[in-house]
Amino acid sequence: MIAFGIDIGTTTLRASAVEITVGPFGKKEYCPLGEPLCQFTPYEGATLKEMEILEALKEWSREMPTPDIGTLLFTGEAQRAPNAASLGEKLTEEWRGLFSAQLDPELETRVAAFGSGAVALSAQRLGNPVLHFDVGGGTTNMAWIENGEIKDTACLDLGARKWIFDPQTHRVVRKTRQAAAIELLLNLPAVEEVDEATAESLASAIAGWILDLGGVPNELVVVPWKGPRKIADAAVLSFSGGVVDCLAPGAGGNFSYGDIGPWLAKALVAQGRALKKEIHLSKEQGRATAFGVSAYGFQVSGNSIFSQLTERLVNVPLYEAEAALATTLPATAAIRVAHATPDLTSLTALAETWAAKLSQKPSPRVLVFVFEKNLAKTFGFLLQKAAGATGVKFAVLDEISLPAAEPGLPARTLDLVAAPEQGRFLVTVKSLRRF
Amino acid sequence: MSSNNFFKDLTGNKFVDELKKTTPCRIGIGHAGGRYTTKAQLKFREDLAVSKDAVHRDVPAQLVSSMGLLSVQSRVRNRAEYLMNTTAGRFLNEESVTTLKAEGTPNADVQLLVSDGLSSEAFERNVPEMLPLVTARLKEAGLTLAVPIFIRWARVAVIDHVGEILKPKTSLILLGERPGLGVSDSLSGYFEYMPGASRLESDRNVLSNIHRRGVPPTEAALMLAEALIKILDIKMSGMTVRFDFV
Repeated sequence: MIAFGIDIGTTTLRASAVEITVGPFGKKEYCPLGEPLCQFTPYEGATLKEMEILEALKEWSREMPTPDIGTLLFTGEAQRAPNAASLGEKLTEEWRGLFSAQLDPELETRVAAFGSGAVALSAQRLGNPVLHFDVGGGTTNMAWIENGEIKDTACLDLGARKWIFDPQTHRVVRKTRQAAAIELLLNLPAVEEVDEATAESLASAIAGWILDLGGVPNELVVVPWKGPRKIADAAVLSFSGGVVDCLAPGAGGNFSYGDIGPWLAKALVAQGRALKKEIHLSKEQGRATAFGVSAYGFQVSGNSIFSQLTERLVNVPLYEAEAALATTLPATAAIRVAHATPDLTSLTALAETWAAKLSQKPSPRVLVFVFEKNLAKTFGFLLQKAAGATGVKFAVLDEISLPAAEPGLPARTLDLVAAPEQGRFLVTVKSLRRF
Repeated sequence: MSSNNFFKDLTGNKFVDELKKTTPCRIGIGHAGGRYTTKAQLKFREDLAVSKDAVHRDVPAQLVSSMGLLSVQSRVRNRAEYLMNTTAGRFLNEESVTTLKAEGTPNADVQLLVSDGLSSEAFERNVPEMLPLVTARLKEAGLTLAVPIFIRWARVAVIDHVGEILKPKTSLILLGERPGLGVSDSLSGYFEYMPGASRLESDRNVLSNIHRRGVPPTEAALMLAEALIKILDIKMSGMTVRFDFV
């Protein structure tokens, strides 16, 4: 299976491809394919340059195999671009409806924490909390991870590209609203030119705020921590994001990026070390978000499935079981069965209830049931017995964990890709908020 | 921190509490000095009693007859001998051989066997749900099924003795697993292509941990039925054949 992850961020446009193989016990192995795409995100003012982005992605994907699944993220400032939705639609058309737009800062944080390896690291440091920072151009996403589980997240309006300067003259050419707020908070005169000392001073202050979890000025907080978090309680500090890439600036030197990224990266690591913390720098670094979303934005069904399907399904609307029984379903639909009792009597009754529903007209032509428990073969067999004459094709997948629909959020859809050899399904949940 | 305090602390540790919810294993149970706590000791004795009951109780004859099973017995003469003499559980007694020859179904595609094994509780809780599903799926696949057989006090290898007598193409035996301290109703399903005297342990496959908190019995029934259909199709079983569930 080939998965694409595309991250259109404040500063950078990133894309990565991962080959996923599913082994015994549903174990997923990931192998990054080729060189990820990494370039500055092209803007015209606050608007994304759609054609330029499309061309860059097409050029990059020419070297890649055709993707089976994929996820698209707009992060930081790019979320607020007036044409983000229109660009999302164009990309979805280009890759046959594979992508889902994910706009939630919490999701972005979680994906970066997974993709950077911080979650895996935490699982190896049982009892020692890992604090992960994904520091980009516009925002800093933070995740508090304990024993391999993300416990809390927060997002700050702090990043490396609040001041953008000319790499040659060092004169500031663009300044964000937050840059002016930071100058005010630091009692600094308006920054017109960024020299070494100014960059160091700004970076040091921003790094201090980022690492002082509770002391960030309110106007720089996008999403606060849900619980009380202190850096003293963290055993490991983990960093990813574009800023961390700047730790080893290229031949052009520190000023070549036109932002304070190189100084901010050094300040974060130095201040983290001064706190006597173990520092983990993600190997994936800036690609963490793209890698994480392509690698973790889906689930593999358990080893027990029942399927009459032969082709991939894209954009299948997902219904809760109770609501689905009470409504007219479209031609293709997915049903989430969260609480099924595993005994034969209960499962037979459930199959008969659905057989009665399917005997009514209009009936869907394809129906996908998703069980959280390992009951797919049994339910599929019983439903086939009870509803075989209706002509509805169906599949039953197990061990997929889908959170219940949440009010106010867009309806969720699924993509289903059958793994040809293992008889399992890869399932991408669009509008996903949790993994 | 001394190791003594470290372990004591685990009793109130949220992480350990979460782990404990996922398993019946005895983890983070604490201790008082060098001994178990009274609560842990009482739970241990309670679970041991449940396990002993599972081993020593007999499957009710009425349940066996209500399921339409042909009832036979291994060479074991009583429960104590069953526990001590594993070889005797691998063969049918002479009377049972005669019964099989007279009432069994020779040369079927599938021979289903069930036994109390080391847990009658596993049999009682799981087999009544599993057998109808296995049978229905195999019949749907167009296979011929022999009369299913209940073997009292059997070991896994009895599958080959029955195979020698009735010559089925495939056979499945469901029997109770050795009870643990916490799971006393777990069943295993062993299956084999062309069972017979010359077959080895490595010619069999197994799906184990069949119980409500493990592999649900209804699901295990369909998994095993499909495994039988597969080994009949590829004409082999054993360690060289991979199934999704192993």
